[in-house]
Amino acid sequence: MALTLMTSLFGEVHYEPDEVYIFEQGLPGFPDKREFLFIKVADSPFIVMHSLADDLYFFLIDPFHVQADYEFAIPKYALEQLNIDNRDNVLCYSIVVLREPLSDSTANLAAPVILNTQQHKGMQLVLENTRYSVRHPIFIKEEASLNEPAVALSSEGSNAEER
Amino acid sequence: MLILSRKVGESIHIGDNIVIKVVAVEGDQIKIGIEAPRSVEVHRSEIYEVIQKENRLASTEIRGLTIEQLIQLGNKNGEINKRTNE
Repeated sequence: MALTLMTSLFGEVHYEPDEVYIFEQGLPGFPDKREFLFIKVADSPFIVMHSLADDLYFFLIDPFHVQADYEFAIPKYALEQLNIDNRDNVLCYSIVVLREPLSDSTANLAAPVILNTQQHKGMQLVLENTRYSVRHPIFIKEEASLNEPAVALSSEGSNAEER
Repeated sequence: MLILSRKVGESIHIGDNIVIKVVAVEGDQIKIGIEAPRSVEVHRSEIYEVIQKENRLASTEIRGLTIEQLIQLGNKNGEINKRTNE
């Protein structure tokens, strides 16, 4: 039976009980938020992680979109907490901080959200001794891409006319 | 806050299965050993506090932000940063 969540972002969101992800420990700063729904924002790189308890939500992005060689080891305590026994059932997202202007927005690569997609368990993993930034810029600034012509960007799309 | 005095080599039990041991004191640096079940996460406070703060920022609404703006952001307002830090 479909349930309904009222959100300020999307209005009414209908979901099935088995779509809900359980974060047993909550998130750093939000220890009592345990149930989340993951909602893809159509035609955008963003996913919304929405609390079922209230109108609390986080924007997420696929970290491999912003850091192609992103990698980290999932420590044993996390594998156990999430009952992960098969890497095919693991998804990873980065929490986004939207800033003003929006082009200054950043993604937290130092504390990824890890999901066990089979058992619908999740947690935010705080990486120790990581080289990744808590505030990794999501967007390339236009002036930066002009100053660094050697950086290979895909040539299709919006900045082709600048060449 | 409970404050206890300990010498090097002495330890503190927290509950049944967490032990904090003072391993060494070198000047203003104190080496602490922690024995805890794997399910207990142990982090340096300053790292954890940065993540807490960033999460609170992430959950703060930008006034008047609409999903349409977000979609435009993905399409228009700058290419997604695909560079690697080498």
